[in-house]
Amino acid sequence: MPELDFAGLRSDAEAAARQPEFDAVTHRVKTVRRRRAVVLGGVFLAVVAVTGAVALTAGSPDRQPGPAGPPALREPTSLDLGMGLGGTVEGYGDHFYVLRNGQLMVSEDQGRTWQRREAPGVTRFRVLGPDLLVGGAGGFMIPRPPNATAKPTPTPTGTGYQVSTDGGRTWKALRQSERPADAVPAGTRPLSCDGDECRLAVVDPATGILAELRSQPALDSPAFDPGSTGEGLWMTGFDPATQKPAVASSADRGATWQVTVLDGEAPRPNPATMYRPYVTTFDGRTGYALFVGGGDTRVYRTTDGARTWVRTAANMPGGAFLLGPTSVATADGGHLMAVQTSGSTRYLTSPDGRTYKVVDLPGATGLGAPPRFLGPGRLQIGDREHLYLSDDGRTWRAATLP
Amino acid sequence: MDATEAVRQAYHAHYRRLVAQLYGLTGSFVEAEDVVQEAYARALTRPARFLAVANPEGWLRRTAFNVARTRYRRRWLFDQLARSRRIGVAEQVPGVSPDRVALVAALARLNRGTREAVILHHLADLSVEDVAENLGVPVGTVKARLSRGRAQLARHLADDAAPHSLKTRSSHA
Repeated sequence: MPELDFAGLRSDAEAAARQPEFDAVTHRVKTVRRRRAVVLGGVFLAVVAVTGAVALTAGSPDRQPGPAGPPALREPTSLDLGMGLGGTVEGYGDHFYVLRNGQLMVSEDQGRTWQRREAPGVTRFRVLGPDLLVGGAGGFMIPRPPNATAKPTPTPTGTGYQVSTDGGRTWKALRQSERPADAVPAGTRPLSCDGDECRLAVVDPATGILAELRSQPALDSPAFDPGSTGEGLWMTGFDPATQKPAVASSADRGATWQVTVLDGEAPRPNPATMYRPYVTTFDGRTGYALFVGGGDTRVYRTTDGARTWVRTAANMPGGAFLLGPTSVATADGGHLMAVQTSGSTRYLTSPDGRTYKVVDLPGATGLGAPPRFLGPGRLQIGDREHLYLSDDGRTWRAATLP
Repeated sequence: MDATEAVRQAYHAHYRRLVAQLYGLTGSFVEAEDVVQEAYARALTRPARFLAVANPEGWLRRTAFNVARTRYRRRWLFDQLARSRRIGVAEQVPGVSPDRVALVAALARLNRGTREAVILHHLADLSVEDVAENLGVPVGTVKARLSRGRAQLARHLADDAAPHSLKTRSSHA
């Protein structure tokens, strides 16, 4: 049996480390600064582009109206397009999108038929509304393969983000308004967001202009995952005063927020701890907060739009291995998540968060992918070859992929 | 001393040690190198703060751990799949012997808190008290995690050394 040879591991690993020139680090600083500039709200460049009326905001009630004329716009230098697990398809409502071999494939009828459209320069994208897409070269650093001898893989710089307001037919450079938005535009959802510098941002479906929400929930280390909720606008994070996990919800599309601290949870021991709950709701009223990691799996349930939460007596079947961390609420108020049992991947369901049982989903067997929302009232499960849809989380049907 | 120069010196002094530690934490050599370089880049974006820290290696380690933790959340599913052996985790690294790669694979099967305690104590050479301070948990908790972690590692390594038929069956699960 191999021994616990930590000294040997350290010696080998230190010798194997390939230390690039210090200049490689200094070059990377630009990327870090760009990310910070965006998420902090940054310094706006005085690039004015007259692109028509900005329907995002009309100014705060407690502020004097701004000067006449369009707000200053700038090109965002970095976006978080990566929060949460991507689904087999991206989509909202009946409109689905998937990149296949660099080609954007679009369905406007729930996957029955697919059309080919262009998305030049887009390798990662998010769908914020039925016809509203934001894409770019990606938001992550791409590490160099260990045995690569050729020149390093180009690192996405975060620049060059594009937006389409017509379902991928046409694209234009994404611009960010200096004027914040009062609310999430109807029929859209915000961009994903995760981390200490997370600020909710939205895109106007008519103009394609990006703006931060004026009102941000009072949370430390907040996160928003658009694939976890159907109706409703919920975020998770930590209460700034107690550092206990908390859920923020908005009943008016982000104009105002209510924050509920999960008092039964322990405060996070230090700011690095990220054991936030993963929240989900189908209808914006009944939902679940699921804790995985940092201790036993714990489930909380709400029936009043995330204002009050009750820890349920979760009884997870022995041997079930959550394929989370995400789960979804179903239309009937139940809870659904992927789970691996010995030798197979199935699903864990509960009508109320109290008792769980392992089941196969009628119409969607043999997959272990976590269910995800495609906007209000629509869920997907899938892998690269299969796509299953549901309008309630209980009954599933197969859809075609391009 | 100029802040950039301070970071440069720390780069030459600590880079390889930090990569070794993050390799144990993340289970991926490429990921380890990337998060360590990210930590240095962050030091350069806040030079005044970096100049003021008493323990540059500790600051860089903490930052790299934080970067790895954030990425870990995003890759939770991958990690779960890896731990369940539905996909392989033992990345072969030139210069690192198979036994030590096996140890890294076993580390990846520990829960996050236990793994961090083991890495900080056995790879970063921190005292139990310093590990407790780093993780924000009591000393007793660290001792328990270390004890549990060593026992689990030994068991995982023994499992991995089990007859080939068992490993084959697991890989198809």
